[in-house]
Amino acid sequence: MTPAELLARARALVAHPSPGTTGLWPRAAALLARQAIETGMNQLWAARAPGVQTLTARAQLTCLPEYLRDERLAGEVAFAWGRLSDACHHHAYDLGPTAAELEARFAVVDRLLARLAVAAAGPG
Amino acid sequence: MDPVLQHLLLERLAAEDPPLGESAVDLVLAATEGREELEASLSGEAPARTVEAVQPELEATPPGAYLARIAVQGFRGVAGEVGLDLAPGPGLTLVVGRNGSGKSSFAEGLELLMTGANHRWEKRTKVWKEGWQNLHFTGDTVLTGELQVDGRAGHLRLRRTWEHGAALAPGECVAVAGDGGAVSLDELGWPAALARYRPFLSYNELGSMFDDNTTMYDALAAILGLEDVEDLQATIRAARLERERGDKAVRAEVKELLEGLEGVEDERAAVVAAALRAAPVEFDAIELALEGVGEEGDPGAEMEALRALASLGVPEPVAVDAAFDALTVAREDLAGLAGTDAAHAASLVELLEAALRHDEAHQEPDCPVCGTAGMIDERWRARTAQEIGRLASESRRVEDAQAAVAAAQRRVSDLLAPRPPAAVARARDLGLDPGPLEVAWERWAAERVRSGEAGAEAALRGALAGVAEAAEALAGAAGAELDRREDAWRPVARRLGEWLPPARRAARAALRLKDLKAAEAWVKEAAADLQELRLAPIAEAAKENWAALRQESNVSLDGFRLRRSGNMRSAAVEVTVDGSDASAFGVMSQGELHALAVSIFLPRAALPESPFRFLVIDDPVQSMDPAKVDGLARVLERAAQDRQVVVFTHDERLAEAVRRLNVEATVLGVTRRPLSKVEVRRERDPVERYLDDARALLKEDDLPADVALRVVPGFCRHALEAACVTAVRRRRLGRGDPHAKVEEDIASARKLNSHLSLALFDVPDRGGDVLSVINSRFGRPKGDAVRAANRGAHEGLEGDLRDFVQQSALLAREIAALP
Repeated sequence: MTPAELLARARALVAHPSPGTTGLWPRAAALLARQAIETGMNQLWAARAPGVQTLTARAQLTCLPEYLRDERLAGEVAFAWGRLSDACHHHAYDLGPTAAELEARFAVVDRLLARLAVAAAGPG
Repeated sequence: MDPVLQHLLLERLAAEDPPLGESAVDLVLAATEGREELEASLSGEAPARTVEAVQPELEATPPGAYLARIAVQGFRGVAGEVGLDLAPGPGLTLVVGRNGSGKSSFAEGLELLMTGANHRWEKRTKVWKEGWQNLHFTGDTVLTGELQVDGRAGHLRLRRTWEHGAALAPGECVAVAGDGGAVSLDELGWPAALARYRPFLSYNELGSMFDDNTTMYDALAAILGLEDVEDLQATIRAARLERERGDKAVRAEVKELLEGLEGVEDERAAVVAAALRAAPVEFDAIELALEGVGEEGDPGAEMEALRALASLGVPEPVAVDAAFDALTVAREDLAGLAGTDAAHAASLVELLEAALRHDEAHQEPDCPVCGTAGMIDERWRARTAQEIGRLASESRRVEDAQAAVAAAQRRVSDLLAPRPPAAVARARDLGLDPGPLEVAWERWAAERVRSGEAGAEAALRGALAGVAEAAEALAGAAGAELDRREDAWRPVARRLGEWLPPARRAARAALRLKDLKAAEAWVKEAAADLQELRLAPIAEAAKENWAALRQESNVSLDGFRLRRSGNMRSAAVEVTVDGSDASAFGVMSQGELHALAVSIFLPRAALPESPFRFLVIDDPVQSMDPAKVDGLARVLERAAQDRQVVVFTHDERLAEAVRRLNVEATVLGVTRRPLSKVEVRRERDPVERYLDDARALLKEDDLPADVALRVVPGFCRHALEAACVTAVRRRRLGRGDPHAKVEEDIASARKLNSHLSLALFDVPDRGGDVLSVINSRFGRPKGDAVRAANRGAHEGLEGDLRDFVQQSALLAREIAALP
């Protein structure tokens, strides 16, 4: 699935109630959104810096500003990824993210994907 | 009156502790029923009450009510209708949801539904109240509650409805019985019970209970019925004050009245003044004086005499003329008979009767008058007797005329009594001159004696005229004096008349002042003890709760005391810190205060007198440290033994503690999608829940398969991590590791391998050794599952996920069960 597809699936989970996803949609959506970020970055590395995708996600995120040429967005992506990761692991006492929180993360991913489309084409 | 309090009060009265007189006991008992009853008792209208005769108020516990369902629509964070189904019976239910998930809408909705108000909003400004309806919903706001009430078939349904855009107002709570019939909440006694036992406790209330002493006092006083003791005191006090004021007013008025009486020359004034000065005031004497009723020598006498003088009666001229005319006529009639046959006959009858009497006495044959011999014989006697008979009828006319003259003479004499009436003699004492009248009367009396004599009529007429003249003068003077006195008296009398009835009542009322004071003193002395006795079971339970809740706190709760003095109300919580006295609120943390508030709330709301067998607590966990959360779980467990305890909480801490401590509980999860679509589901423990989620995703038809491949591994990883946390907590807390340290280690594990390292090796940093140990200890498929979970959470997996979920589930359970 493409990053954009993953993000669309995440959004659908949040927006469309279904008995089968009651209660689990916040974490499921977080998983998909995080995968959208990671898949997006993988595509960037394949085009621009083969090999980086083998690094940990955290290391990849530190490389991101250099290729995105938007430090502010790269920072926001790193933060969104971190919060989504929290929701992708079991943390004692934490409940899944709220719809509003997820929507904020999705917006960052939107901007990342738009920017990646430009960045994949190369510098300049 | 609060039944328990009434019971305590009766016990104490019966034990005569402290002793109290019968009439004061009557007053105390009457006062428990209210001011009106007290007044009736004070006035003697009501039969005296005794302790033995009092019917205790409802002693049986009221039918209990449990919650079966709370449904909310268009309210706060909830748009379309969402229901929270609860098992109607004792037990613990946790409703877990993030802040903003809509969970508090249930708690607040229930409170608003049942009470028409909400503690959180009560003291807020308008702006606060504006967002009470859901923004994403344009239909009516509807709150519904279903309750299972003991002894009633089906569920009692409560409902309140507001139109969209309506202001927050209580509205009407419509109740429908299980059988469809209408029910009155008043009939069930709920409105009063809701105010008294308030089965709701919000985070806000938890926080504000100790904001000032008054808040907690009020929270406790209402349910303990302490207000009833205060009301009792106030009722008696008010009755006492009213009497004292009345008594004082009477005294002040007596002083004024006495001043007003000064200078009033009226013996009534003197009598009234004496009655006013008497102690106690002689109201009857004053009343008699006002009515002018009196015995001799008392106030009425002078006025009576004056009135008699003013209306002195002398014969009317017409009557005088008539009497004298009648006398003249009678005399003329008699005179007319002189020389007539009648006179002759009468004279002859006298003569012949005298002759017969003489003959009878002497029996001589010769006539004693003419000397003719042999004249007096039987023939003469018979002839003479016959002649007397004939002549007698002739003479009767003359006798009648004589009698008529005598009667006419009497009539003239009777025109006026020979002596003036007694009042005339008193005139002198009343400042009047009866002299002329007395002289005139004496002349009349003298003439009257001579009335039979010829020519006396003119003199009699003259005397009568003299009396009439003098009497008129005296009557006029008496009338003037009467007016003068009445003019001076009337305003005084009016004031007295107005003053008398209330003053008499006040004085009568004041007679019970002594009893009232005794009753008041008794209640005052008993009040503190009654309150303490009433408070005791709650204080005990609160102390027990605190002992369980305090955990690592060095603050111990020794009890609490409620005080009221005038408007100053205070609840003093007695605590010691490490054994030394301290001011409670200064030394306690926010979390400790919350725990203390819960300690007090639970026994308060769980009193057997309350018809509510449920308690709803909104977010008691905030700012509690982990150890207190464990304590809270224990305290709630105990409360849930015989109460339905519903706790709303914004994170997993309480749910986790409940699971770890094996506290039986139902956990419901609340989530809120965009547009306020709120969903509720029953939650199992996190391991099983994540596994359920993974399986649900596999089965979900609406979910594209590739999405499942990408999210299922994440849920399996969650399950494994949760299993690790479960194992770590149970093991380490079980062996006495400090809560904080355990939590710190768990929080530091941010990846599955670190969690597994903690679970397997008790340290977080041996993630590298995890896989080989799992492979050897639990089998290679389990190790593969761990790897798949890690990889798949990022990239998704290929192929059939069922086996992977199965292996993950087996491993998760084995890890959770690790010793």
